[in-house]
Amino acid sequence: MNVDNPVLEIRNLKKYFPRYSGIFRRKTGEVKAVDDISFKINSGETLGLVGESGCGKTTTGRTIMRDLDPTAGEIYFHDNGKVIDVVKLEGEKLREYWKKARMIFQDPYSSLNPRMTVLNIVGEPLKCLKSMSEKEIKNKVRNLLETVGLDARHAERYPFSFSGGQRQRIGIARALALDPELIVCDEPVSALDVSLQAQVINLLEELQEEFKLAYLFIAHDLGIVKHISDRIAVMYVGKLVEVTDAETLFNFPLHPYTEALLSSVPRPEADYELNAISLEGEVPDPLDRPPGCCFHPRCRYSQEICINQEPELKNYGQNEKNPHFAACHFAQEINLRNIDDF
Amino acid sequence: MDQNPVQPAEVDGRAEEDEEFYMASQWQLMWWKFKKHKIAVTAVLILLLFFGVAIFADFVAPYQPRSRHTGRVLAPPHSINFLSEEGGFNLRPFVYGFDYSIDMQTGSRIYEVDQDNKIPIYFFVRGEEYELWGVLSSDLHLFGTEEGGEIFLLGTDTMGRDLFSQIVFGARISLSIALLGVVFSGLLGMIMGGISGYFGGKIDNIIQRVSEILRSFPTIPLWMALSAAIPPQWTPVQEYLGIVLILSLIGWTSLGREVRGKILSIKNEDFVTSARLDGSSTPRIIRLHLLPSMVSHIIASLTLAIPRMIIAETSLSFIGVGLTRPAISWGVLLEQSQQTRHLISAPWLLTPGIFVVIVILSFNFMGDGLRDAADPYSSLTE
Amino acid sequence: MTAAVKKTDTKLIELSNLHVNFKYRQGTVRAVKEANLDIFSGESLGLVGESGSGKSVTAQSILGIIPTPGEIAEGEIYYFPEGEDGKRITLSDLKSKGKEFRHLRARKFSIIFQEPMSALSPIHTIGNQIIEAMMLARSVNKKEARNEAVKLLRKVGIPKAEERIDEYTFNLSGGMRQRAMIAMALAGEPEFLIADEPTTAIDVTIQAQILELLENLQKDFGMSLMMITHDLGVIAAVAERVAVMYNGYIVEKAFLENIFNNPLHPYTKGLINSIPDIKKTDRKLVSIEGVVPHPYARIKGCDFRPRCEKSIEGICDQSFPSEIECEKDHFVRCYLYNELEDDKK
Repeated sequence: MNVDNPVLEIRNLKKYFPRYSGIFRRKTGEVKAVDDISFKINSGETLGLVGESGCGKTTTGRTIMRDLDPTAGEIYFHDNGKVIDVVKLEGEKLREYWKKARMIFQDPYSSLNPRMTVLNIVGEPLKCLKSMSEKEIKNKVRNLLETVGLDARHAERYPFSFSGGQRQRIGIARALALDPELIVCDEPVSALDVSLQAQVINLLEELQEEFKLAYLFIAHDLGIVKHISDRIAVMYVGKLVEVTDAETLFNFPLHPYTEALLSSVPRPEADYELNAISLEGEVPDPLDRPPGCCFHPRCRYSQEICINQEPELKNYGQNEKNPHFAACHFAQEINLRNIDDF
Repeated sequence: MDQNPVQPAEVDGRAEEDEEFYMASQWQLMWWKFKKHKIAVTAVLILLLFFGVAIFADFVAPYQPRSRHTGRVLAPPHSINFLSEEGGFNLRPFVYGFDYSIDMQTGSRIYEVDQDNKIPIYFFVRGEEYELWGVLSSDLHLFGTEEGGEIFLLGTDTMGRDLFSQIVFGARISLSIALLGVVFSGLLGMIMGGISGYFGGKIDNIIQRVSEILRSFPTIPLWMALSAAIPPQWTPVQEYLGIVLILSLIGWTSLGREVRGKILSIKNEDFVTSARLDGSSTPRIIRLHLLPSMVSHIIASLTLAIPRMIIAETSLSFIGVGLTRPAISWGVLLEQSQQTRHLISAPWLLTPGIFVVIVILSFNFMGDGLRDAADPYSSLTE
Repeated sequence: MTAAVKKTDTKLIELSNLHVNFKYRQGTVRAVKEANLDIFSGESLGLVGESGSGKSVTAQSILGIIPTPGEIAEGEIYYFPEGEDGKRITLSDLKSKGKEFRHLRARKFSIIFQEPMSALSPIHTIGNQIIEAMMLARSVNKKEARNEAVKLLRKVGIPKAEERIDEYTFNLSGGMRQRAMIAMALAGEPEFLIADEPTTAIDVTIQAQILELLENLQKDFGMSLMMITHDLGVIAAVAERVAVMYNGYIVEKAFLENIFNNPLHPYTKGLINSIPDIKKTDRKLVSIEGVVPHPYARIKGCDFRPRCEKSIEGICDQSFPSEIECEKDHFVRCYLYNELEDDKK
């Protein structure tokens, strides 16, 4: 894979939500949902973004889509050699961006308007962003439905007549409608039953191959993320703690949080013994983050410096082609266990 | 194995004609669901009857509401008979006429049934002339007697006016005032709630506080104060509109809150976010996504708000600060039952109250049915 | 596996041809069909299935807490109290709100849920709730109960238990609430604990802690544990024996190693193959095609047939297969193994 072919690049992205309280709704604090993160996604690749609930991964996805406006930072989208500054887009330009960058949602029930037919749901972007005629839309929607494995004859149906897995396919068809280059997949399978998850994952992989799509795949299930991702970014309380390719992350983790995550995934194997690294205490409140490394109160390896100084996300990769970023003062000193040790 | 994913239709044993079901719009689904609610459907039929009667009041009522039968002050209701005293069966119903004597001690009249005076009831008879809606002049009535006869289905009042006819005419005002009041307060509620929910922030804060203040006033004194502000020289029509305005100024708060809550919940649904990312403009999102998801709920809440309006109008008029004669509403009619003397000797003066109860119950049942049907999707998924 | 031998000894709960129906205006949902299942003393049994497979309803029927309009339409549930040789109570005949069943639920059976707040009261301190549950189940006075409660909270891993005991549930984090709920469920020292998707809503690092806790507690208390989940990983971590449910039927029952190493039913195989292997590199996921049947649907023959690659025309579309013991303690309901059965005869 060509490393220098990014489709999306984000630099020092921040998204803070002000917190108000009292009758006069005075600003009393800030929830630092996303705090200074940077990564890129190459054309045609899948970047997995994992983390536990509340770590800011969904906010990251929504900020990239400009559903939320970033507090600070830059987002660049590369469209056939043109570099677009996504943060500055407004009006028509923003709509242009939405043709190329699309989103798939977690909840297959709330993401489809129950009062619209599948034709209108999938046709919405065609109508609003491309102003196609009714007839063109009809044909295109039929094609899309077939692409995602649904019966084109059911275009006139309403969402309630489909099961969760089929609804997710409708959502995928809607995301595909305008030949996008990037799709932000926000936990697209976590609401589905196990047997349907595999169907949707397979479909996403097939589509990626066929249309050369890049995915930002947001999820909390490490097994699925490992399966679908080329590279994985691990997030903890608004920060990236480790970014590298999937194999390296599972076999040579550099951050103690990653190690703890790996140890916690129960695997469906006959002789499996759960042997998780127990993390002390709770995930910190993003309103009131600990100083220094935000993982230090729960970290087995934490030392003085971790309390006082925030570690930078640095490249510890052995070769140029395969960078391995981690944010830990002792990334090179401590010897962490990998997936085979649990 | 079949390569296509199995469609629910096939495993369901549902035939192809069920495609109609899968392609049903929300209104169709709501109608199917509402139809299953037997009590609500009955309520709708009753209400249709009431509205029909109110619209064609001149035709349904045997007398004009203000015509007096001076010889028949506080006459009891006539009972309709099919069997005559001799035991013979008459296909045509009839009533017996009255004789009366004066009670020398109280001075009130004592009515006695006059068995010899059989008054047959005819349908579609000519009677008092009227102008329907001020346009059609006619003298045709649904039922009545031949000239010289009399029929008081629900008795007469202190001035000898037929109570049944008055109730029929009173339905016009009582029902229309409630409808108009609900429409006005609905509009007000939707606008205020809509602004509050969609824009949020400071505006939301202000509107919510105002509505809380309005809600925390005790209603009856507030109505009384506002009604007292209506100038006495106003015509009945102005008075009528004044009452509507008062009722809706106070009544919008609950609907406003409901609309606001609904908008807040729908605004956060993923399909609205998705629509924005699909390039839908704000007016399009409101028209295509927000409104259709709310309309059914709003209709249901409005229906449930009508009884409150009817009660409000009735109570205002009953205590004498709402409508006053010559306007006739059920509340106005009930006002005369305030005197205990009449209540004992003429309990039929309370019958307008029974109609109030029937109408309110019907609106409540209909509203219940609508509310259950308002979200037809909850029972379809899961 | 030595433990397994011990477990086949004493039966604690037996489901015999259990049917549970939910009658709605639109139709009848047959949530549990022809379920036969033994739960042995001291074992941990995993009940796996997808949403709508009837796994929760099966558990609820044992405790007599099936939500309305569900009811046991056919079949029996027996309970064999520990230490009372030969005594058998037919749970399915007891009134669910009757004194005897309430007594059993207070002292012998317990359940924990996915959502701790559904089991905990927001207006009482966790201590008071545990103490009350304890006094209901055992003859202890309030002071003893309080001491016991502190011990119990410590046991479920709540730090500073002496202080936390007087806190309200809304002061606790998700993981701590889960622990408090487990403590409450254990207050009566039950013989049988049902865990209904206890870790579905929580994060993986906390899930691991809760699973380890449950495993340890089950051994400490010597109770039977029924773990209901859709996650085969959770099953692997906790269960010794597994029952797989599909659309209301128990389609396969076996010891854990047999389920993973030698799955027989096509559905079980499909489930295992559809999970990505975290240790190995890429392989295409094998998915089960099609969708879960509609709850009102009546499927002719085997319920899994419309999604089964191996279905045999003329056989699988006739009736639901009966239970076959393919190897020792390994039961399956699938026509593919009927020949095997015939050979044995």
